[in-house]
Amino acid sequence: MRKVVMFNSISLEGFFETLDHRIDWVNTDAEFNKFTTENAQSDDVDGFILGRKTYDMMSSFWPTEFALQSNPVVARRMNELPKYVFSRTLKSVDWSNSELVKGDAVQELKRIKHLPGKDLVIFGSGNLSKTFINNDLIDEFQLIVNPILLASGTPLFQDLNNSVRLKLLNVRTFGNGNVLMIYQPDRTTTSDAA
Amino acid sequence: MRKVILFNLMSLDGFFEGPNRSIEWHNVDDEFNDFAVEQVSSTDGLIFGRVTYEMMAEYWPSEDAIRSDPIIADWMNKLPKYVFSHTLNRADWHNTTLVNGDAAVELRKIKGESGRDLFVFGSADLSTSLIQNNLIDEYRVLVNPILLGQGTPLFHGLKDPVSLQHIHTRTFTNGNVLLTYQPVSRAM
Repeated sequence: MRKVVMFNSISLEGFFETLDHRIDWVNTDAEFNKFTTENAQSDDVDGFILGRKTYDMMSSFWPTEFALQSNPVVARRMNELPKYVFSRTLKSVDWSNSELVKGDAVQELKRIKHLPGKDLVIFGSGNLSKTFINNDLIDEFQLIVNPILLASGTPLFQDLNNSVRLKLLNVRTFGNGNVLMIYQPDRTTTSDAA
Repeated sequence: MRKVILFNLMSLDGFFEGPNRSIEWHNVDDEFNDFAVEQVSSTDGLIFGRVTYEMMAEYWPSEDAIRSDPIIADWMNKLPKYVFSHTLNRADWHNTTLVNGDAAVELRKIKGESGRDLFVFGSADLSTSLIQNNLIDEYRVLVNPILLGQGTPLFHGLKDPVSLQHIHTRTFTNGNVLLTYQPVSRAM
């Protein structure tokens, strides 16, 4: 079955955006861009999962000339690969190779995970992520902790029904102070162990 | 001047305690205990807010603590401790000073005294005020491999963002990750 990998930059206190939806505090440099570029070129992934807000942000950025020039490899990959947009309010999705998913999010993601294909990456999408975590549909968490306390913002993990024990797979510290931590749910213990 | 080091265990979703102040999710083993001993033996002063003080003052002198955690218990009981509170009238835990005045002013005084570095454990409300007053010189956050789902955020109520400089990462075999930072600009 295809894995669903959650990938996000967060502040030390766990926010993925400020209250006014800014992500300009995300700490990038040549080393970090090289990492995201290599990540984008990875052969393990062939699709993205987006909630409505993340879709709106990404679809208005990645197809632009600015994105194509400043970050060509990632932009091409983002524009080309299939994107599943989970939304009950959108009527249509115009970004290339996007598919609107209107049904029950849990049932739909289960269906998509069973389709032949490689891994899927979910970005941002706090509400959608919460639903998926509560239903044990996320198979890997890749979080980049940025060296900042934002003071206020939107928590990436909000109000989960149960605690989730994790297994640490890998840690990488970047020169700019970002720390990538990769976890899998520890399915050998009960999910409400805490 | 003495450094003030904030040390806390935190879940991956940013909580330092779960519902009902639960901390039984803390991922501790021999490697962690060695680290904890190293830490308490490097300091000669612990700083607490009222709530954390009351929890610790009840636990560490107990027979249970002395039996299950003898080395840490010995340090915790004998080290000088400062409890910052406007409501407590007295603090009976061995070697504890009750600090009733303005937290920032009082901590500046203590930092100016001769001695080794000071640690703040737990004490989320006090920490907020110390962070905001630029009195934390080092952050040590031990990220435990768990999403608690619910709980009390370690960092809350800050008014302004704080830019940090990453100093060190240490990965423990039990999946804990210790992240160490300094504030980027610190008024000395």
